[in-house]
Amino acid sequence: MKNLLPKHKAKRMEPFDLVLNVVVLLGAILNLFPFYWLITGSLKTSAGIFKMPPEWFPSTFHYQNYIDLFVGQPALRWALNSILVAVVTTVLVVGCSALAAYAFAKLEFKGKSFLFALFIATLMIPKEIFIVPLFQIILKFNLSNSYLGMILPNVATAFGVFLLKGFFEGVPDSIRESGRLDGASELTVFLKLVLPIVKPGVGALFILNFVNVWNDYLWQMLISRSKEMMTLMVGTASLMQEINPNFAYKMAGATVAALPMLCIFIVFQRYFTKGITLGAVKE
Amino acid sequence: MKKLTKLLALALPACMAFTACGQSAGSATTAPASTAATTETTTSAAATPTGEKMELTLWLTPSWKGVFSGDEPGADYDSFFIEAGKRYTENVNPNVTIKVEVIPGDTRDEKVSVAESTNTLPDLFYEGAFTMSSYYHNGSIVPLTDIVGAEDKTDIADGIWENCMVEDEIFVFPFAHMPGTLVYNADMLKAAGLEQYIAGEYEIATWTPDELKTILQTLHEKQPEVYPLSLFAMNNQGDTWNLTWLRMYGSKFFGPDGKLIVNDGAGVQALQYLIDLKDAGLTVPGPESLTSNDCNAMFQNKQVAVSFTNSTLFTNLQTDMNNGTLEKFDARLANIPGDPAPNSFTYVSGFMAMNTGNDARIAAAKDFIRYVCTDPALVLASKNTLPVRETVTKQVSGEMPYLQAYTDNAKFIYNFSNNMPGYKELRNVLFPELQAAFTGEKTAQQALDSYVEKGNAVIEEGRKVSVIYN
Amino acid sequence: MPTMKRKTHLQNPYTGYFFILPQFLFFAVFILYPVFEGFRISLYKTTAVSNTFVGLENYQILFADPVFLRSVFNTLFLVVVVTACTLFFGMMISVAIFDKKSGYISVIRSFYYLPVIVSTVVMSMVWKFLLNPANGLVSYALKQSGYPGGNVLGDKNLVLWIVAFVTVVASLGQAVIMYVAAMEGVSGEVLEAAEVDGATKFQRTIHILIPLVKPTTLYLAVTNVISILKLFVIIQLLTDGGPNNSSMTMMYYLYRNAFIYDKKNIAAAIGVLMFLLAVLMATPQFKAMSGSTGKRLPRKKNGKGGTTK
Repeated sequence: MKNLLPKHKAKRMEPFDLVLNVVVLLGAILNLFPFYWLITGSLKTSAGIFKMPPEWFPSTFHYQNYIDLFVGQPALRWALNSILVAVVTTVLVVGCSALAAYAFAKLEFKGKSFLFALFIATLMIPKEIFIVPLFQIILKFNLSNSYLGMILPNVATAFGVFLLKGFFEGVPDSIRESGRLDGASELTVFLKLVLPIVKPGVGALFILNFVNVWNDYLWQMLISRSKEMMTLMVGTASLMQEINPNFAYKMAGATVAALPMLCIFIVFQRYFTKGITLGAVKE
Repeated sequence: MKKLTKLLALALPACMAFTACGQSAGSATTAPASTAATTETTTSAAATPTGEKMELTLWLTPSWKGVFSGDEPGADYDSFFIEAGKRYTENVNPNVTIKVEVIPGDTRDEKVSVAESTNTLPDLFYEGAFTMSSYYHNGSIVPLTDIVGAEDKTDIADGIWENCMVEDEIFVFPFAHMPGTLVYNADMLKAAGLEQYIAGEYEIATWTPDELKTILQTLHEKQPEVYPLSLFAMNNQGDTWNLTWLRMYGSKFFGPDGKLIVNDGAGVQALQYLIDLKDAGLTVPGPESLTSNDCNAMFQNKQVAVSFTNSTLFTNLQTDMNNGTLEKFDARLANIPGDPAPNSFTYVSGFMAMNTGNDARIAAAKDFIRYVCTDPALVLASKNTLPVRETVTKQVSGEMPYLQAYTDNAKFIYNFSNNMPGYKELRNVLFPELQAAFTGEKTAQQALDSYVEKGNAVIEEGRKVSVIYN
Repeated sequence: MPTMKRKTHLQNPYTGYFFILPQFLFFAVFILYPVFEGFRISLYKTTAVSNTFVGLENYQILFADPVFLRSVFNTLFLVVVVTACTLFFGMMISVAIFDKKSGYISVIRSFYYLPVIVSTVVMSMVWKFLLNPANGLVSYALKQSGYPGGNVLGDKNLVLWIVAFVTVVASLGQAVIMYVAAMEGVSGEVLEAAEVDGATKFQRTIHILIPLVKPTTLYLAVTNVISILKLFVIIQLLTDGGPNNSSMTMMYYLYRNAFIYDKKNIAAAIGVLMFLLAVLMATPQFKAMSGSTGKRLPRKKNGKGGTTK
């Protein structure tokens, strides 16, 4: 059986497979083009951007756009805001979801299946749909233009519960039982014995949620009222509305917004792939 | 008993804090008493006698850079307002500081509407009067009638005051105004052999619609790489130029009852004129997907020959060309053509005191407005756009070469918004119809019919919910 | 059975509630309450001066509003087209690469995932630049190739397809990652046996791969439907709902009503209708999905119980 595999790989590709791969490869390269255009564009002068036929490569690197961006806009602050909001939200999501998922997977209590169904049903409701009442709550708590206003509503996601429950179910009951028989509290068992086993799940949730919050836009746009409170995405999008006629500078903004995640992705690619797959149906 | 004390409080003219909060029901009572009283209370800092420390927030959308001139080092959109705040704190009321925030014009309505529902309105606003009238109608702006003195009334022209009033109450203290015109790249016209249409450097050219068409056609033939005219309808930004285009053949736009009538023959003819230009390739392509920002950027980058501008954008353009941010070219002004006469409009901008619900803050805000709008040194900054005060105009006419041209052009000025309730939403009804017309989905007549129908519904609805009419 | 008994002995019956309490609080405040409040607000008319109960009037206004009806149609169009395209192309790409060398897989996969990771805000901005009718590269290329229409964003018949295209590009990566993982999980023996039997790759795809990755397909379908329902960024930054509202979506119309037109009650009513739509569209898929996991889980439990005993 084993030596079939290399033979299979060495074999000539079927025409269907070949054509498919050529198309897919072309598509992949085309996918890169917008980024190439964005990054080179951000290094052009404003007039260079408008040049048609296009300048495929900037004749001189015009770094001024980036200087303008970081001097004229609180771009660094935006990035820090994004990091803060994404990290805190994600930590809260992981914490709350893990607790709840553990309860749903391992503990017995009345109304468990109903509560779980209720949680899962909310997966169907994007919070944006009820943005009007949601926003009013934020106003009631006086949280507009605050980090908490951006963070708290995003913690209410059933996805983490859904994801982690599967992982907790994979942990043998014997581990929990032995811990309990040794007199450890349920919380100690959860933290010391069970949680370390489901690390991959926690990691996956962390990555997925981090990306989600990082790329969130509508909610953060509504909450951030002053320039200093904007996250990177909101700040970048606001550049589009500036009356600054330099389009290259706006492209520099978009590049800056794209880069952090791009770097994180390149470094942690394997975890991303794993996280996304684990995040779906545990098969 | 309660009523009695309330009456007593209202009667005390020095207690500006109370008169200021007459946003809804109280407005009728405060009006007559105030005008007489203000001449005495004017520049004094009586507003915050308690000496309570407070920081007032001022919002503005980008207008001009620098305190008195865009050439100053570090000149930015908030420079003047920061300086004015500093002087107010130093010279008038040490307990009040002013915090300045610049907000983008595109998102102003979102920002304000959110601020209204969150009770986080700024204390002060500097903005064009017409864009803000909706907020006066819903009670978010307090009237300023009581801080306007008789000398202000005479120093500032009636036409300007008209732009700042709703039903006899002043809700904006006018500071500067910005006439809107077209701007053209005279170098391009020269290169295309159109010297005869170029007016003097400090003049505003007036072309008939046919002349403009000839200019654009010639430009198109001689310089095919340049788009002859900018045209935009992606959103409501810069729609005043579009409104003015629609009056090109003399449509009155609003009927005597304040309802829209722009679907008359003259209105349709005007829109058809624009559609024809677009179809003949004489405008930028795809105006339905372009914003005024896009067009302005293209003009500055020499991609468009004839575009739109106002006195501030024009000043900024000159500044950018002088300091090397932009490549230099010969930019000159022109009127939006009209038959028989062109139409011109001006944005009156000024200060507003917002209804924050806190009487002390409102009083302080009004006192600050009074100070900025009357201090002889500070009002000079209005030359960054155009001064509303005649005294200032006289002072600065020597250093402002365009002032004479704008003054001469004043005879073409019309009032474009009526400061009607629901104007904000009325603006959002127009651009989709223009998009439909520019993309050929609707004829000029259909688009304007639909605009009038929807627009009038908006106006009616606006009257129903306005706190001014109820 | 004995395990169950011991479980209950070991546990204070309230511990479970303590564990779900933090998450439940967030739920109650930020999901359950807004849902009920949303329903309530949608039955009122609120102005600066009054707040009156108007029953279903807001809904009547909406159903008589051509822009709203247009937005419903557009939303459904996008849900169908984008989901179908994402699944189809995601499947196609994955079929092409899943049996290749791991280096090749990871390169192709990352290229397709790039637009997902850099966020729709950046993607929308880039496409906006490319599609700018006056100076965008795509518009230029179209003009050079003799395309008569000019501005694709201004073409009311085309603009939704453009939005769909940009959305598919921005969500394809996730489908690829998940399909590849699912296909790698399909037993090599089965595929090889089929290959030995003379089945072509196309036949193997149709008869073996597609049926076996069905759970992934279902999962992707649900998540796509929900994410397209709330599609906002691309509309705001790319088309602003235009031209003449032909790319207006329900989410964008909700937003406009809530925060630009200042019609919170109408916006809340749109939210309620979107909620119903979400339930309607997602429930069947959801059932199929949780059905398949539901069936699997007890089996696992029993299996484990057996071995530990």
